[in-house]
Amino acid sequence: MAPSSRRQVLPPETLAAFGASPIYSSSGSDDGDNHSAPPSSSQFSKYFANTTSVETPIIGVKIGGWTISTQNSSIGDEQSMEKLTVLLEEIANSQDGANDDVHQLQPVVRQRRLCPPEITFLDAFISLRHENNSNHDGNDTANDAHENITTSSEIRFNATDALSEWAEAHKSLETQPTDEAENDIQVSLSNQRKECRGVTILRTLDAKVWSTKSKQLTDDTASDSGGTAAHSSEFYYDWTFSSPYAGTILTTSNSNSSSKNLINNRQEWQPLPKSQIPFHLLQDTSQPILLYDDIHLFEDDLHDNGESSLNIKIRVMPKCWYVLQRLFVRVDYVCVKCREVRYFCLLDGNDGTNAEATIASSVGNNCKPNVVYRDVTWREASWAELNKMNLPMDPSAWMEHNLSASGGGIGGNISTGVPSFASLLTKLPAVSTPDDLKKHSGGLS
Amino acid sequence: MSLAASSPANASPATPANNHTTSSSGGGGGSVTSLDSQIERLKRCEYLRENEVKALCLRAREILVDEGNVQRVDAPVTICGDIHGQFYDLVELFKVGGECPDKNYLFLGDFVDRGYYSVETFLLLLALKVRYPDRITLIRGNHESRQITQVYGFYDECLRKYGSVNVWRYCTEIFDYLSLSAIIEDKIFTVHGGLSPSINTLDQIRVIDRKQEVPHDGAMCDLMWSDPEEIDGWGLSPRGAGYLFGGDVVAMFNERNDLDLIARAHQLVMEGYRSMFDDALVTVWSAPNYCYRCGNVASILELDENLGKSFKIFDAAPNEARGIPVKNPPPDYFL
Repeated sequence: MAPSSRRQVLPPETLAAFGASPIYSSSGSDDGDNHSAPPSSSQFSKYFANTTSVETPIIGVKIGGWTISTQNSSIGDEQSMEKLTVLLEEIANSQDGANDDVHQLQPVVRQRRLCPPEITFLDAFISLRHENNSNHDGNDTANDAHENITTSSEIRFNATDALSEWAEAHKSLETQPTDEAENDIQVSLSNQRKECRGVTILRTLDAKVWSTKSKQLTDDTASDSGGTAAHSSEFYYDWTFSSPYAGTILTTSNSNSSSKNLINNRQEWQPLPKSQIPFHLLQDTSQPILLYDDIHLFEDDLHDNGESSLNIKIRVMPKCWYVLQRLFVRVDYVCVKCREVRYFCLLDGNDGTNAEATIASSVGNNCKPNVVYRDVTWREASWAELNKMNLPMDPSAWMEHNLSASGGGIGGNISTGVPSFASLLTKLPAVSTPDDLKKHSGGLS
Repeated sequence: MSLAASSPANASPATPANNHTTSSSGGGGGSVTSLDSQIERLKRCEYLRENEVKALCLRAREILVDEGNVQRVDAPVTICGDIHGQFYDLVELFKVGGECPDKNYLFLGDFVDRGYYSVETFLLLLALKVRYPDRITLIRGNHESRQITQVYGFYDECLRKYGSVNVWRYCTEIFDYLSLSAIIEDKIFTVHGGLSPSINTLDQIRVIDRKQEVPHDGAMCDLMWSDPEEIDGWGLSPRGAGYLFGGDVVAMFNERNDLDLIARAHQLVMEGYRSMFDDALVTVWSAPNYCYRCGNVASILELDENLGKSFKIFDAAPNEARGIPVKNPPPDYFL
């Protein structure tokens, strides 16, 4: 109900007036080249048939050389979640270093297990794809083409990719808790890390009490209950799902018969000194929103210790498209995190308008058509910092779907009316981003 | 989806005559007829007045205080998992499973929080409990707690609907009286979360002093919080608090206590139920389209007089059946 009810695409005739055309539910774009495409939606068809809450799976528009589509889904079923778990555990446990002999010697002990978020919308995605056909390209770079070379770039958001990147970071993390002093020697020997690209293993408020209690318990009852020591388990991972994910960038090149895919998340982004996203243009409400969607990739209630959610909003307008990805994490009485990634692209004025001129004329913005601009903002505060900064200390103030705030209406409408939650988030202090995620960058021209 | 096949043979509505009489609860209508009218109102999703809630809770307490920590339940009975304030889906559940005095019900906790109608959901179940004490059993989930309800919705909902926290206070006091677990015909053990490393026998549960807020650790906490997992023995949750228990733990517990099955709730499952450990344990989930967006189905587990199992799967109530109009707000110019 919450996210899907707001999705919208304008009728074909309205779209046509802006040089756009609709894509209605098809089984994903003309396939074959989607090397890590989301799992097939056919497995969910039985639920679609029975469930009142599911609508047309895919909506989309074509505009200015871009094919933009979105899909909602229900949560993954048992089988597909198991498949996902296997995939994530493989990633988290794989060794890409060639000289990791130490690890090879004790593979069983080092095995890390993890669980995906309880609520994972496995089939949901947003995809923005741009095709460059060299034969028709009057401008730039593709001069080396003797024949018909098509390159397409795709920016895509889906849960599997977001969680894979999260799992990937675990390769560098310690596999057992190293509570104060206790294992000092081992820690220094194995050079284990506590943080990798923003992925870290937190503990709940209760965990301190537990770390002492469970030791007693081990002594008291382990022999009797037949249980082994309960002070740790192979489930030691970032249960807040704080993925550094910033979307998946896929470049496909088709020359003659051969085609190759390049997943290219970390290169190709030129750092920029400041944001090139023209926010004034985005605030121009005289521009109609041709397509709008609000997609959840995953959510987890952290076992009633807070929440974690990854949400993506998109709007396509006659002159541009804009995407906001937000990861929100709250661990009650421990910390709040908010990671936002914004993508913006000015469209080529194929309807005769020259958006570029419009943009350039104001605020000296150098925003160029068909260059994708990206802003990455990470914010984070511990509960103690909330206190210091005079921010709310009540967990219910930090809820993405605050039912009481929306008067018992539909949850998740955080930005209608007073955007209290969104503006609250901007008050959190910014923290540094990983090296490969520059605060402001541009690419994919 | 199976419809509620009527088998009135085993349906024996409790006779009103043997119900507890009001004693000195005062105010708010103690008679069976006023209770019946309250149930009718609640079924229309109208919530009770504050003094009615107070009186209802007083009567419920008299009943619950006599229940054991391992409440005995006779078959046939229908086992239901988490509801989470999804009132219209609870109404749907009764449509699918049969109405309350006609069928015998066992609810495994988490009546409140997250959904829009925690007040109506809990009060309806509580009113049914007072009206038909032998036909419905309510045990405590981890959300039946002062601390959790202050974060996850029930507290705010009470405040919004009554303008004060009195109703929340009456209800949370009743939470402390809810039983911790139930045993059906000595063979099926039911609990909200799972097992505890400090509990080997049912007698160890029977001696817990349950009349308190859900503690942060210990046996009572574990019963409401722990989760089964494909591991050997016991594990600590990655969060650093809370237990995971494996199939060997379940097998040993069932053998030691001469049990066939553990039925529990607490975890969302897309298919409405999930069996684990060679059918030694089952998770039952009864909140369809959880949080109004997961798209999952829900289930209830029906046990016949011979403890034969059958699951009934059901979907969320259709939108027309809900009080709230489906609003379609215009897309916003988010930044």
